[in-house]
Amino acid sequence: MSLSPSTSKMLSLKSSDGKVLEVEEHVAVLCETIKSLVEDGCADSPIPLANVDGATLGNVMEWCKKHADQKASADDLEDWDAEFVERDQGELYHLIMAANYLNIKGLLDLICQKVADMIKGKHPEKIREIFNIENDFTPEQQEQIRKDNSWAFE
Amino acid sequence: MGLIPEILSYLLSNVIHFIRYNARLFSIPSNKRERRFAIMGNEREQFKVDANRDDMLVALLPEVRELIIQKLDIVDYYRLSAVCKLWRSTAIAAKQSQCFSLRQLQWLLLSFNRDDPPAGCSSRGFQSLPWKKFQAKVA
Repeated sequence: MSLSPSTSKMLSLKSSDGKVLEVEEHVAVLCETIKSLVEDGCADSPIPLANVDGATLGNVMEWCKKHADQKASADDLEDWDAEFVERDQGELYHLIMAANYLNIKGLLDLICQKVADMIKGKHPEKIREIFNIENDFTPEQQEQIRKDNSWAFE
Repeated sequence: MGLIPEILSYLLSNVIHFIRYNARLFSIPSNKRERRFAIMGNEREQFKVDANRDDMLVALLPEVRELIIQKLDIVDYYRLSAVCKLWRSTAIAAKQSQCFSLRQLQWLLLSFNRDDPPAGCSSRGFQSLPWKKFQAKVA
């Protein structure tokens, strides 16, 4: 079933809500944070990940598993990633926080790109609407901002 | 006319930013116990996890906000910085710490309008790939 080297041992990761996930070491070490622990021999007991809930940890490890798979081609990964980021804002938020905490640059980059794509080509009003942001500028400030770079708002 | 020095300084700042950003990968303490503490020590800083985070853009960490800004071209950069005070301050900070990415630089380099006479014109054409043509005043 698994394409991993037979030597890859299992690591236990414990989420903030107490769920324990068994993950192959060569998958989990895509997280720089976990990799450091493994290198130090500090990864024996379940590793407590206080900033990542169980559901998010599952999603993160799913991404790591795919990206640890040596057989996956670049095109394959690109398609898979595009599908992976099709999520609601809540899930994207938790994934960003987890990728940042676990120091997974590839995943952090992917989700940030997704958020940037959600912002792209939209006027400030639309961005506020999509992301539920309150406009805290005074009408005067807003007028000034628009005037300063009017070409960007055409 | 100070375009060349400006581009050079953008390039330099990008290199500095790259080194600075990646430095944290190498800055984990070498001592084992110290290292474990450095990684696990912030367990208490547990952030609030809501089931539905519909205000994610304002809840993100500053460094993540900066990462997102770096992925925008210059039009979207100015639009996002007009959304709210938080994003305006992030955008200004990113610009001041010279973290403007190559995306913005490429936009500028691509922008040269060959039909424009190099001297004696007050405006220059800018072309951002996903966008129609903009005219911006060149100071």
